[in-house]
Amino acid sequence: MIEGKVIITKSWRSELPGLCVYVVLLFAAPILSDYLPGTTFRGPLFSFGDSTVYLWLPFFWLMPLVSLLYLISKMYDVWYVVDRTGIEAWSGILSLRQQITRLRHEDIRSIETDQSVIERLLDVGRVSVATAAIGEVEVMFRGVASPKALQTWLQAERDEVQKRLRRKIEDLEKFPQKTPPAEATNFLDPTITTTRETDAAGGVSFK
Amino acid sequence: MSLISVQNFIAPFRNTTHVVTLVLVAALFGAYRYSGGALATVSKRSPLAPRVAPNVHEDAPVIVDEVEDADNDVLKEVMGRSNRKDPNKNAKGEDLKSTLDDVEKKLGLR
Repeated sequence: MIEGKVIITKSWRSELPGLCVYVVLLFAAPILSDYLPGTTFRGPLFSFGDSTVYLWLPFFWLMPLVSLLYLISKMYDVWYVVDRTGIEAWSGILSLRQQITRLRHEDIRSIETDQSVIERLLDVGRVSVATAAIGEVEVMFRGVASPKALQTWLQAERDEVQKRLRRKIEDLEKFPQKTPPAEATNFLDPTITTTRETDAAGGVSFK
Repeated sequence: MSLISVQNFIAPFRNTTHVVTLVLVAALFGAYRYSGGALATVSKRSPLAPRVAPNVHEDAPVIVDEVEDADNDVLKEVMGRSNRKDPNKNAKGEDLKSTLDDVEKKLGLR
Protein backbone atom coordinates (compact mmCIF):
# COMPACT_ATOMS: atom_id res chain seq x y z
CA MET A 1 0.00 0.00 0.00
CA ILE A 2 1.18 3.52 -0.78
CA GLU A 3 1.70 5.78 2.20
CA GLY A 4 0.84 9.37 1.34
CA LYS A 5 1.64 10.58 -2.15
CA VAL A 6 4.41 9.58 -4.53
CA ILE A 7 5.35 12.28 -7.04
CA ILE A 8 6.95 11.02 -10.24
CA THR A 9 8.75 13.54 -12.47
CA LYS A 10 10.39 13.17 -15.84
CA SER A 11 13.97 11.98 -15.89
CA TRP A 12 16.74 14.14 -17.35
CA ARG A 13 17.91 11.06 -19.25
CA SER A 14 14.77 11.29 -21.39
CA GLU A 15 15.95 14.69 -22.67
CA LEU A 16 19.36 13.45 -23.81
CA PRO A 17 19.33 15.08 -27.32
CA GLY A 18 18.38 18.43 -25.82
CA LEU A 19 21.06 18.04 -23.15
CA CYS A 20 23.71 17.36 -25.82
CA VAL A 21 22.69 20.52 -27.69
CA TYR A 22 22.86 22.48 -24.43
CA VAL A 23 26.38 21.24 -23.60
CA VAL A 24 27.64 22.08 -27.11
CA LEU A 25 26.20 25.60 -26.87
CA LEU A 26 27.61 25.95 -23.35
CA PHE A 27 31.15 25.39 -24.64
CA ALA A 28 30.61 27.35 -27.86
CA ALA A 29 29.43 30.52 -26.08
CA PRO A 30 32.78 31.50 -24.45
CA ILE A 31 34.78 30.58 -27.56
CA LEU A 32 32.58 32.66 -29.88
CA SER A 33 32.49 35.55 -27.42
CA ASP A 34 36.28 35.50 -27.29
CA TYR A 35 36.58 35.56 -31.10
CA LEU A 36 33.95 38.27 -31.47
CA PRO A 37 34.27 40.58 -28.43
CA GLY A 38 31.97 43.12 -30.09
CA THR A 39 29.01 40.83 -29.48
CA THR A 40 29.05 41.61 -25.75
CA PHE A 41 26.46 44.25 -24.97
CA ARG A 42 27.32 46.57 -22.14
CA GLY A 43 25.56 49.44 -20.50
CA PRO A 44 23.66 50.67 -17.46
CA LEU A 45 20.92 48.29 -16.38
CA PHE A 46 19.15 50.33 -13.72
CA SER A 47 19.88 52.94 -11.06
CA PHE A 48 18.93 53.11 -7.43
CA GLY A 49 19.87 56.08 -5.30
CA ASP A 50 23.39 57.15 -6.15
CA SER A 51 24.35 53.80 -7.63
CA THR A 52 24.03 52.45 -11.15
CA VAL A 53 24.16 48.77 -12.01
CA TYR A 54 26.08 48.01 -15.22
CA LEU A 55 25.58 44.80 -17.16
CA TRP A 56 27.86 42.98 -19.60
CA LEU A 57 25.74 40.55 -21.60
CA PRO A 58 27.45 38.27 -24.12
CA PHE A 59 25.12 37.61 -27.05
CA PHE A 60 26.32 34.05 -27.61
CA TRP A 61 25.56 33.17 -24.00
CA LEU A 62 21.85 33.62 -24.80
CA MET A 63 21.93 30.43 -26.89
CA PRO A 64 22.60 28.00 -24.01
CA LEU A 65 20.24 30.07 -21.84
CA VAL A 66 17.33 29.59 -24.26
CA SER A 67 18.23 25.93 -24.67
CA LEU A 68 18.21 25.33 -20.90
CA LEU A 69 14.95 27.23 -20.39
CA TYR A 70 13.32 25.07 -23.06
CA LEU A 71 14.60 21.90 -21.37
CA ILE A 72 13.45 23.03 -17.92
CA SER A 73 10.01 23.94 -19.25
CA LYS A 74 9.70 20.44 -20.73
CA MET A 75 10.93 18.79 -17.54
CA TYR A 76 8.83 20.66 -15.00
CA ASP A 77 5.71 21.15 -17.11
CA VAL A 78 4.37 17.73 -16.17
CA TRP A 79 4.36 15.47 -13.16
CA TYR A 80 2.46 12.45 -11.97
CA VAL A 81 1.08 11.72 -8.54
CA VAL A 82 0.28 8.21 -7.35
CA ASP A 83 -1.56 7.73 -4.07
CA ARG A 84 -3.61 4.96 -2.50
CA THR A 85 -6.77 6.00 -4.37
CA GLY A 86 -5.42 6.45 -7.89
CA ILE A 87 -3.21 8.25 -10.39
CA GLU A 88 -3.13 11.95 -11.20
CA ALA A 89 -1.39 13.39 -14.27
CA TRP A 90 -0.67 17.12 -14.08
CA SER A 91 0.30 18.68 -17.40
CA GLY A 92 0.77 22.33 -18.33
CA ILE A 93 2.08 23.33 -14.90
CA LEU A 94 4.25 26.07 -16.47
CA SER A 95 1.71 26.84 -19.20
CA LEU A 96 -1.34 29.05 -19.22
CA ARG A 97 -3.61 26.03 -19.60
CA GLN A 98 -3.33 23.25 -17.04
CA GLN A 99 -4.86 19.80 -17.37
CA ILE A 100 -5.30 17.29 -14.54
CA THR A 101 -6.40 13.75 -15.30
CA ARG A 102 -7.35 11.45 -12.44
CA LEU A 103 -7.82 7.71 -12.56
CA ARG A 104 -8.86 5.37 -9.78
CA HIS A 105 -6.84 2.20 -9.34
CA GLU A 106 -9.91 0.00 -9.68
CA ASP A 107 -10.73 1.55 -13.10
CA ILE A 108 -7.35 0.73 -14.62
CA ARG A 109 -7.60 -1.96 -17.26
CA SER A 110 -4.14 -2.19 -18.78
CA ILE A 111 -0.68 -0.74 -18.17
CA GLU A 112 1.82 -0.83 -21.04
CA THR A 113 5.40 0.34 -21.48
CA ASP A 114 7.00 1.72 -24.62
CA GLN A 115 10.78 2.10 -25.06
CA SER A 116 13.14 2.65 -27.99
CA VAL A 117 16.61 1.06 -28.15
CA ILE A 118 18.35 4.12 -26.72
CA GLU A 119 15.65 4.49 -24.07
CA ARG A 120 16.22 0.87 -23.05
CA LEU A 121 19.92 1.57 -22.67
CA LEU A 122 19.14 4.63 -20.55
CA ASP A 123 16.31 2.91 -18.66
CA VAL A 124 13.69 5.52 -19.49
CA GLY A 125 10.44 5.31 -21.42
CA ARG A 126 6.70 5.78 -21.51
CA VAL A 127 4.05 3.99 -19.45
CA SER A 128 0.51 4.06 -20.83
CA VAL A 129 -2.45 3.54 -18.53
CA ALA A 130 -5.83 2.64 -20.08
CA THR A 131 -9.16 2.40 -18.30
CA ALA A 132 -12.01 -0.02 -18.73
CA ALA A 133 -14.42 2.86 -19.32
CA ILE A 134 -13.30 4.04 -22.74
CA GLY A 135 -10.60 1.50 -23.52
CA GLU A 136 -8.14 4.17 -24.60
CA VAL A 137 -4.94 5.47 -23.08
CA GLU A 138 -5.95 8.10 -20.57
CA VAL A 139 -2.71 8.76 -18.77
CA MET A 140 0.75 8.46 -20.29
CA PHE A 141 3.81 8.75 -18.10
CA ARG A 142 6.32 10.28 -20.55
CA GLY A 143 10.08 10.09 -20.03
CA VAL A 144 9.95 8.43 -16.63
CA ALA A 145 12.85 6.43 -15.22
CA SER A 146 12.54 2.65 -14.80
CA PRO A 147 9.24 2.20 -16.68
CA LYS A 148 9.17 -1.57 -16.07
CA ALA A 149 9.41 -1.09 -12.31
CA LEU A 150 6.68 1.55 -12.47
CA GLN A 151 4.45 -0.77 -14.49
CA THR A 152 4.90 -3.62 -11.99
CA TRP A 153 4.26 -1.29 -9.07
CA LEU A 154 1.07 0.18 -10.58
CA GLN A 155 -0.23 -3.30 -11.47
CA ALA A 156 0.42 -4.54 -7.94
CA GLU A 157 -1.38 -1.51 -6.53
CA ARG A 158 -4.35 -2.03 -8.86
CA ASP A 159 -4.55 -5.74 -7.96
CA GLU A 160 -4.41 -4.91 -4.26
CA VAL A 161 -7.25 -2.39 -4.54
CA GLN A 162 -9.36 -4.74 -6.65
CA LYS A 163 -8.79 -7.57 -4.14
CA ARG A 164 -9.87 -5.30 -1.33
CA LEU A 165 -13.03 -4.29 -3.18
CA ARG A 166 -13.90 -7.91 -3.99
CA ARG A 167 -13.51 -8.85 -0.32
CA LYS A 168 -15.80 -6.00 0.67
CA ILE A 169 -18.46 -7.11 -1.80
CA GLU A 170 -18.25 -10.68 -0.50
CA ASP A 171 -18.63 -9.46 3.07
CA LEU A 172 -21.69 -7.45 2.10
CA GLU A 173 -23.23 -10.51 0.44
CA LYS A 174 -22.55 -12.68 3.49
CA PHE A 175 -23.67 -10.16 6.08
CA PRO A 176 -26.28 -7.84 4.54
CA GLN A 177 -26.72 -4.56 6.41
CA LYS A 178 -29.77 -4.41 8.66
CA THR A 179 -32.30 -1.70 7.81
CA PRO A 180 -33.05 0.66 10.73
CA PRO A 181 -36.41 0.20 12.47
CA ALA A 182 -39.29 2.36 11.33
CA GLU A 183 -39.58 3.97 14.75
CA ALA A 184 -36.59 4.83 16.93
CA THR A 185 -36.39 6.29 20.42
CA ASN A 186 -33.88 8.90 21.40
CA PHE A 187 -31.46 7.45 23.96
CA LEU A 188 -31.08 10.72 25.84
CA ASP A 189 -34.73 11.72 25.84
CA PRO A 190 -37.16 8.74 25.61
CA THR A 191 -40.11 11.08 25.04
CA ILE A 192 -38.74 11.99 21.58
CA THR A 193 -39.46 9.45 18.87
CA THR A 194 -38.40 9.62 15.26
CA THR A 195 -40.57 8.06 12.58
CA ARG A 196 -39.26 7.04 9.20
CA GLU A 197 -41.74 7.36 6.34
CA THR A 198 -41.33 6.21 2.81
CA ASP A 199 -43.47 7.82 0.12
CA ALA A 200 -44.78 6.27 -3.09
CA ALA A 201 -41.75 7.47 -5.10
CA GLY A 202 -39.35 5.73 -2.71
CA GLY A 203 -38.17 8.91 -0.98
CA VAL A 204 -37.38 8.62 2.73
CA SER A 205 -38.21 11.31 5.26
CA PHE A 206 -37.79 11.44 9.04
CA LYS A 207 -40.33 13.06 11.40
CA MET B 1 6.66 22.05 10.84
CA SER B 2 7.96 25.58 10.63
CA LEU B 3 8.59 27.16 7.24
CA ILE B 4 12.27 27.82 7.97
CA SER B 5 13.43 24.30 8.51
CA VAL B 6 16.51 22.28 7.61
CA GLN B 7 14.23 19.80 5.85
CA ASN B 8 13.02 22.52 3.46
CA PHE B 9 16.59 23.58 2.66
CA ILE B 10 17.85 20.09 1.89
CA ALA B 11 14.72 19.02 0.00
CA PRO B 12 16.04 20.05 -3.48
CA PHE B 13 19.20 18.02 -2.92
CA ARG B 14 17.31 14.80 -2.23
CA ASN B 15 15.75 14.63 -5.69
CA THR B 16 18.09 13.68 -8.54
CA THR B 17 16.12 15.73 -11.06
CA HIS B 18 16.47 18.88 -8.98
CA VAL B 19 20.19 18.25 -8.37
CA VAL B 20 20.82 17.92 -12.13
CA THR B 21 18.85 21.13 -12.72
CA LEU B 22 21.00 22.96 -10.16
CA VAL B 23 24.20 21.67 -11.80
CA LEU B 24 23.02 22.78 -15.26
CA VAL B 25 22.12 26.25 -13.99
CA ALA B 26 25.52 26.53 -12.24
CA ALA B 27 27.26 25.53 -15.49
CA LEU B 28 25.25 28.21 -17.31
CA PHE B 29 26.42 30.82 -14.82
CA GLY B 30 30.02 29.66 -15.31
CA ALA B 31 29.63 30.04 -19.07
CA TYR B 32 28.20 33.54 -18.54
CA ARG B 33 31.22 34.64 -16.53
CA TYR B 34 33.65 32.92 -18.89
CA SER B 35 32.00 34.55 -21.92
CA GLY B 36 32.64 37.98 -20.44
CA GLY B 37 29.38 38.59 -18.69
CA ALA B 38 29.46 40.67 -15.55
CA LEU B 39 27.37 42.81 -13.28
CA ALA B 40 28.86 45.80 -11.48
CA THR B 41 27.49 48.51 -9.23
CA VAL B 42 29.03 51.97 -9.47
CA SER B 43 28.28 54.77 -7.09
CA LYS B 44 28.11 58.32 -8.45
CA ARG B 45 30.01 59.53 -5.40
CA SER B 46 32.88 57.19 -6.15
CA PRO B 47 35.29 58.44 -8.82
CA LEU B 48 36.10 54.86 -9.84
CA ALA B 49 34.95 53.68 -13.23
CA PRO B 50 32.92 50.46 -13.46
CA ARG B 51 34.91 47.29 -13.26
CA VAL B 52 36.20 46.06 -16.61
CA ALA B 53 34.60 42.88 -17.85
CA PRO B 54 36.86 39.81 -17.90
CA ASN B 55 36.95 39.54 -21.69
CA VAL B 56 37.98 43.13 -22.30
CA HIS B 57 41.67 42.78 -23.09
CA GLU B 58 43.98 45.72 -22.96
CA ASP B 59 46.75 46.06 -25.50
CA ALA B 60 49.92 44.31 -24.42
CA PRO B 61 52.89 46.64 -23.71
CA VAL B 62 55.29 47.02 -26.64
CA ILE B 63 58.73 45.58 -25.91
CA VAL B 64 61.45 47.70 -27.43
CA ASP B 65 64.78 45.92 -27.78
CA GLU B 66 66.88 48.91 -28.64
CA VAL B 67 66.14 52.12 -26.91
CA GLU B 68 66.89 55.04 -29.09
CA ASP B 69 67.16 57.52 -26.29
CA ALA B 70 70.42 56.77 -24.51
CA ASP B 71 69.34 58.74 -21.45
CA ASN B 72 66.64 56.17 -20.77
CA ASP B 73 69.08 53.28 -20.89
CA VAL B 74 70.32 53.73 -17.35
CA LEU B 75 69.26 50.33 -16.14
CA LYS B 76 71.17 48.48 -18.84
CA GLU B 77 74.19 50.62 -18.20
CA VAL B 78 74.11 49.77 -14.52
CA MET B 79 73.79 46.08 -15.37
CA GLY B 80 76.76 46.37 -17.75
CA ARG B 81 74.75 45.55 -20.82
CA SER B 82 74.48 48.95 -22.32
CA ASN B 83 73.81 49.30 -26.02
CA ARG B 84 75.02 52.82 -25.96
CA LYS B 85 77.83 53.37 -28.42
CA ASP B 86 81.20 54.54 -27.08
CA PRO B 87 81.84 57.98 -28.60
CA ASN B 88 85.63 57.24 -28.78
CA LYS B 89 85.12 54.09 -30.91
CA ASN B 90 83.90 53.63 -34.42
CA ALA B 91 81.29 51.07 -35.54
CA LYS B 92 83.92 48.29 -35.66
CA GLY B 93 85.13 49.09 -32.15
CA GLU B 94 88.43 50.76 -33.25
CA ASP B 95 89.62 53.83 -31.40
CA LEU B 96 88.88 57.08 -33.14
CA LYS B 97 91.70 59.56 -33.47
CA SER B 98 90.61 63.07 -32.74
CA THR B 99 92.39 66.19 -33.92
CA LEU B 100 93.62 66.88 -30.39
CA ASP B 101 95.23 63.47 -30.10
CA ASP B 102 98.82 64.74 -30.44
CA VAL B 103 98.29 67.53 -27.92
CA GLU B 104 96.82 65.10 -25.41
CA LYS B 105 99.83 62.77 -25.77
CA LYS B 106 102.29 65.63 -25.21
CA LEU B 107 100.44 66.77 -22.14
CA GLY B 108 100.54 63.23 -20.84
CA LEU B 109 96.78 62.84 -20.78
CA ARG B 110 96.98 59.67 -22.85
